[in-house]
Amino acid sequence: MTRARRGPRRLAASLVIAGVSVALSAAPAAHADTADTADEHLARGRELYDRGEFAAARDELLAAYRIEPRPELLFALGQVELNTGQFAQAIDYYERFIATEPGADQIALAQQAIGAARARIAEKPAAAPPPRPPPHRQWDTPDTGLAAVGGATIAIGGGLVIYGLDLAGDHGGTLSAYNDRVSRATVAQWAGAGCLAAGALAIGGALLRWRLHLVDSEIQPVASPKAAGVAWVGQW
Amino acid sequence: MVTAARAVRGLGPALVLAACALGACVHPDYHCVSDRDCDVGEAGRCELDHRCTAYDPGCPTRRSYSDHSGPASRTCFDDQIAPANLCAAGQPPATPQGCAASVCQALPSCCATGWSEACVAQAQILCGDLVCDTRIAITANKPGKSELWALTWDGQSWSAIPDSRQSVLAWLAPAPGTREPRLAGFSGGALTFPGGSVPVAAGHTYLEATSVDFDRDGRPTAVLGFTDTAGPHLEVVKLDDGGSRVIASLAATRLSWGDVDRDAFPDGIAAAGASNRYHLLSNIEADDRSRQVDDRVMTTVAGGTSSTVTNDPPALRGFDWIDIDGDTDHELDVVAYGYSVNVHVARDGMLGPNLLMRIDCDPPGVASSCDMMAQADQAFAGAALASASGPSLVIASHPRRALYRVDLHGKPATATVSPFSFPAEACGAACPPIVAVVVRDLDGDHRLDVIAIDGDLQVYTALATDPLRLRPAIKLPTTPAAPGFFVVRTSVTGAPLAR
Repeated sequence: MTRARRGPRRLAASLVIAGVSVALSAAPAAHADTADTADEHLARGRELYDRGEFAAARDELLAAYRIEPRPELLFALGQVELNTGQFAQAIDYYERFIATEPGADQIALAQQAIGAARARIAEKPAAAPPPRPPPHRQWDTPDTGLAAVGGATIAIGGGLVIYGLDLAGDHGGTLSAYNDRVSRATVAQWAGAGCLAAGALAIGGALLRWRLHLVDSEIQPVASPKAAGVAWVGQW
Repeated sequence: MVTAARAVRGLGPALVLAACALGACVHPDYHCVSDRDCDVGEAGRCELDHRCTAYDPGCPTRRSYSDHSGPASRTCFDDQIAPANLCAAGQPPATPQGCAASVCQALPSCCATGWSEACVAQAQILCGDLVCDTRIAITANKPGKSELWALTWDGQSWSAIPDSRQSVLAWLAPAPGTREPRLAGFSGGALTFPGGSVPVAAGHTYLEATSVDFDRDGRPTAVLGFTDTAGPHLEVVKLDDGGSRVIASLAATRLSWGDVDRDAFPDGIAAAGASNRYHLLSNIEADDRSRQVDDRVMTTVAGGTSSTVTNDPPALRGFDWIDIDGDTDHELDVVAYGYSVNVHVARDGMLGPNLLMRIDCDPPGVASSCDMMAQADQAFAGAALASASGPSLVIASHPRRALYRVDLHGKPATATVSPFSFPAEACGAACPPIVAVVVRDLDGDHRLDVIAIDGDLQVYTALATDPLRLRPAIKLPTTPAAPGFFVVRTSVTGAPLAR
């Protein structure tokens, strides 16, 4: 797989070197009478190309082509686009160059370049995944569940406490009847207090979980009936 | 979602705190309405403060508060009060605060058992800022005639108002929390008093009406002495709700209350009908934990009146309570006035038939040293006279009109007799004898003065500042002017005078 990818890259590189030099070196000879302006652009384009400033080189080549639409400028433009990664544009220039019916060897060279560009298109990697968001808190379903259970428990506890208060607040009847009520009220109130505490713990747990559970973090709190702690869940 | 989480962020600690607080927020607090509500423990009772108490042998009052009685729960019940009126007997024991503390130092029973007439006397002596008016309810009887009078000394003058009720006029203690004593009497099948009346049984002949904290419940309680076809009885009446119960007793006449056994419950002395026998009525606990009396200890006044004496006086005219032996113990000693004057000293918690001293004859002296025949003609009325210098008795003789102060001192006790002088009066030798004696501080000098009442309801006073001299105070406007009553019973109370 890796070797297969390296073939088109090398081919494209060699084509760039060969193609640009061919196209640019052949141009002055074919159009000597109109070379002043077009040739100046072409010369600057060549210098820029040699320095690796492909975008500027493309502008000079286009300027030259507008002054004098030489077929070999299309090939050179294809080479520039190939170097800037605009492979589809490069193929377009190559095909327009072939359409001018140059020599067989130049057609072969252009086609080879088209092949290289297509290979580069084929090997162009898929769109990069969106950047990983920074670690952040997220109130999730377990948090909601915990809070809901805690709230329900608190409601039950509150009901028991109120029931106990109501029982103890009934001062009617005999002392023994009141004793019974107070005993039941005490049980109810302690149960209610327990429920309130448990509910508060559940809600507190939900809040703690929300505070500590950083989504997209490699450190995750772990809670299970048998263990609790922090786990490293990063990928290697 | 995050907003929701923020909303509950501060809830956890608050809920935990709430849970902790609520865990302890049941504060049982029970208030009863009637004794039936107090059905936990033995012999439950609903007290004046609407708390339940139950039998508890570990407490002086034999009661402790039940659970759920607030801060008092499981503590001993005690009905001590800070009396609003230190001049009135028959109230619950006092809390030892202020002047009452001094009184209770001299007579511990005043803070442990009840506020008796002996406590009032001590208060008048010891409390520098206490000056009382004097109110005497008089029930005067002779065959075919009975009169009821309310006699009052307001600090400046005497006044007397006849009472239209039928029988037995007596001062009852102030209602709890109030200072005004209540003048009670029997009329129309009821014991009536200001602010209320309590129906009484038509078949009972009522002889006495006394205020005493008999059950140590602090409720306004009257103990009535009556006879019916089955003999004498006591009737314990709760004046606040009219509830009553009858207690068997061999004696119910001349009923008087004190404490002889240091058990925190008042004991009584009463005569057995018209006989010369009188009984100690020990306040004891019944099987159902209610209070009743043990009347087995009894004795008699000796002598009697011979057939030569007209208008035979009653064998017993009354009883008095005083600390004679100065032991400042919980016990009060008892003096009985009748055919003889019997002085009992409480020993080991009991008032036995053995006497410290029997006084008889005229002039009175220790009975063993006077003529037996003379003893047979004498009878006495009297009152105990407490003073800073020691106990004395004021004794009125019958049939001769005479009044004596008998100072008791030394061990063995000896009696020093001093006669009072009467003013010169038109009746001369025909003047009726003194039939009732009351001791109170009239002039606010914190020394007890003597009030003597003769058979025609002429009232005399002898101030401590003018010792042994009787002066006429007021003649009750009886019809006829000289009715010649043989039996005059007095019930004494008072209220503080503003100074």
